[in-house]
Amino acid sequence: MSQKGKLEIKDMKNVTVISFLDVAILDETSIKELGDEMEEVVKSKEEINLVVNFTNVDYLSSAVLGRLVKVFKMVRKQKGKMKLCGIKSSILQVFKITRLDKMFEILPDEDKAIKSFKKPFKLWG
Amino acid sequence: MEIRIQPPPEYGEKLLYKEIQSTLDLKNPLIEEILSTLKEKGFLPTEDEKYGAQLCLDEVIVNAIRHGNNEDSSKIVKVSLYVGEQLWAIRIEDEGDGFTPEENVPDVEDEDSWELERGRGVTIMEHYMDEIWYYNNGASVQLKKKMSESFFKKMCSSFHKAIEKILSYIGIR
Repeated sequence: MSQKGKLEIKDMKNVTVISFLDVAILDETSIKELGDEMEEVVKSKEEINLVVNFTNVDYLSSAVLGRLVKVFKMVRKQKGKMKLCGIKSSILQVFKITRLDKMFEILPDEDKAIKSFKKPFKLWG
Repeated sequence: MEIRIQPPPEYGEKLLYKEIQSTLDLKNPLIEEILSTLKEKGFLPTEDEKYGAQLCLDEVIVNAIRHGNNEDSSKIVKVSLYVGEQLWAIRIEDEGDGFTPEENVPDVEDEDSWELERGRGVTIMEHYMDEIWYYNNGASVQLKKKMSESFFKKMCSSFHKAIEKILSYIGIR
């Protein structure tokens, strides 16, 4: 596990988990820093399986949604996948209003998000 | 959404008026001041209502600073907060040329719009606020929010109970 500015990063076998450290992501400087840091993580890996964990976050502005969309498009371009988890109900409401809940796969918690990336076990023979 | 010719009505009493330079650093202290004024007046009783108000204030103020005044610090944004008996309204005026709704507000039901990196502000404001009144070619806007009915009833009931207690204490009832 490592910390990079406003993010905590966990690298696992086939999944990378980014957790936001701030409770409120509202000011433009923080949003830019956070977006740039996420993009660096994505650029560092090909075909990344990325989980973005919102557990610590109580407030975010709509500018954060824009940065998430940008990261989502980068991940997809690199043939990776991105999922979100730990989103509180008030923030989830904003995803619903803007229909982004249909674009992003959103899971209740980190554990479920990580497990969702695991390939089903195959029996040989 | 339309841009109207006439300015919106002034709802209630003007409790706060600020003129700020068009720099985004000044946004959050102003939003905090507006939110605490509204809280003092009994609005925003729940975290969800506070968050809704915060999101909408963020949207209108950022729009005015960034898109209206192009973050030109020589230009100002005027902010007025009105509070009535059961509603509050915020009026934001910038020095820009305004905007054209069709060009600037994507339709969230259109799947192609989901991948846009901006333009969700109006959708968010339309959800949380009861009235959005653009005028002055879109360079000015007023948002209105009514106090939620259940909270108003609760407040009236608490007030009624307090009066009953006082009357009973002084021996009238």
